[in-house]
Amino acid sequence: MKSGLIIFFILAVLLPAAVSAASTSTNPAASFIEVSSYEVSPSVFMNGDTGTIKVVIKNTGDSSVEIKSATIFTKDFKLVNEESYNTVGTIGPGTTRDFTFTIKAGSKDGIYYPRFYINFAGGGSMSYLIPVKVESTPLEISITDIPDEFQEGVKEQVTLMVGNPRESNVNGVVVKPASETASFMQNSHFIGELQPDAGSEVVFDAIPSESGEIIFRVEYRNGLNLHTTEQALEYTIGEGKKAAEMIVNNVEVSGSGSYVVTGDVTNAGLKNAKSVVVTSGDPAVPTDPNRLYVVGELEPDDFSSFEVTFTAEDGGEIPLVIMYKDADGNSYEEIVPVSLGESYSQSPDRSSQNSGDNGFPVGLAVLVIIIAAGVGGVILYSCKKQGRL
Amino acid sequence: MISFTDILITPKRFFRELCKKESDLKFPALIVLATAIISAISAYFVTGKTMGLMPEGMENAIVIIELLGAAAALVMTFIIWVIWAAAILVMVYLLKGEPSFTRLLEVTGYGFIPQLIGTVISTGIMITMLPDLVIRSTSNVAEMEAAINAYMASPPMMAAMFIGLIFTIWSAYIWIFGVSEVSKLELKNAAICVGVPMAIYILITFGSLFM
Repeated sequence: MKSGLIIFFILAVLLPAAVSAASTSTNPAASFIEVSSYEVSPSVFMNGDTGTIKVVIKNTGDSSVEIKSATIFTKDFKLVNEESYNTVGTIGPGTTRDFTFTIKAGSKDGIYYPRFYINFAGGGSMSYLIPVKVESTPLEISITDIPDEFQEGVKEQVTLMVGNPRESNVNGVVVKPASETASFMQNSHFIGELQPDAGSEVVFDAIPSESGEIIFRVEYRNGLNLHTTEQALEYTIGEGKKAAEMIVNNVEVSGSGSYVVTGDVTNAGLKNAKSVVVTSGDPAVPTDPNRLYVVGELEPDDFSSFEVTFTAEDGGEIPLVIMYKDADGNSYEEIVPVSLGESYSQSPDRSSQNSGDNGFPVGLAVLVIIIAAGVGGVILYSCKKQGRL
Repeated sequence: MISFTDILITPKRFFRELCKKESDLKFPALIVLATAIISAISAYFVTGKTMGLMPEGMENAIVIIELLGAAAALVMTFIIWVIWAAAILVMVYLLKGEPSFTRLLEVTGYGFIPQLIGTVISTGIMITMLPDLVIRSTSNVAEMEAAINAYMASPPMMAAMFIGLIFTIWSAYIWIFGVSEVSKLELKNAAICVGVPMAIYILITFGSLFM
């Protein structure tokens, strides 16, 4: 009797340990049940991700085995469908049966081992440890190329590289730019699947309206789970140090009331100036034959002569307007004041636009002649009066 | 009582009467002073116009330069008066007349009346026409020099110069009779005494413009 009690206690202690072993059974037929495969999706979880573990078991024996229930034991994940396999049924000889469990990751990065557990109806059980990785590293966004400076209203290209530093691939990768101070030619760029350690280059055409910030947001899916990551690009509007720059020189003004202005316009910038047009601005009124003088395209350091005609009040200053475009069609305008009176930029021989053909104002010439005649007359009269003539 | 008509129309008679009196530079100095004041006003305008070349932010300096220009014109008129008298004095010496610097100052001073009239007319032309000239500011010295040259060759300035020359010739005509009377020289020699400095003056004035 005493020895029987000892055996009972030994069995009471050893039985649970035997049950919890990787593959333990007191049911002889159940010993032919084995895990033939498993699949974890996504293969690498991110913290907070929901995914599935699919386990396939096979009865390699000659007789049916009745399974009472199946489940997953884990404290590192939340099992979403806890009661899905509370009742399973019989698995025939040579057949397979799969179990799919939905779990949600809530742990730090690492490798965890949820335990797949089968409870046999005829007594006994079986368990199997399934490794599941959790890694929360997001996609990497690198700004690989930006213009030296941004210009207001000018389209500039920003190049990004989206890389996947994760162990698993991600799907549905989309890059979306956002900014309150810039608009974009593309509202998004679809990359699709990114394999581990792979990257994809994306180019956006940004048109800034003022200094500010551009947020590049990358959306992607790890399994069913949507994730986002962002990269900010702060920029300031520059003066366009590479932009085309119109310089006007050799300006020559002729006429009075109706003027002809000729000169040279030079592109002193580093980019081409397209559709260069020269005209006169208010208060001048452009007139035929050259209301607008179309110069055309000017390459850097290239120049062209121009001639514009207009009417304006004599004297004062009028604006010479040079209009041009860049390669993207952005319009620019530069204004050069041109004096219709005397100015240092005019040579002495042409310094009297308000004059007669002889280069000297007629009124002034007449005044000088009258004065000279008057003085001469007084002197003659004086000579006569003094008896010298 | 000084008669301007006598000075301008019958200078010979005026200076003959003047020689009978003691030298008195009061009236001549007043005539030169009046000319100097008008010249100062004219210089103020001319300097002010050229200050349009100065870069922005130099407004205070511009006012000072304008005032300096006016002051210089004021002083220069008196200096020129003295130079005329001294130059004619040298010529009287050379032609063996009876030199008297005070008398010659008196003669040239009265002879400034035409120049006073000429200065008034020139100043009027400048005040009327200079506002039409447009001079853009620049910090480039070469551009400034070119601008000033163009400005000095401008029609208003040229007209003022011609008018100044015409009235200076009228002054010279008056000086001839004055020099003849006070230096006891024949009219021909007196004309040489005045004509040589006048020729030098014309060469200096117009030579600098056209060279």
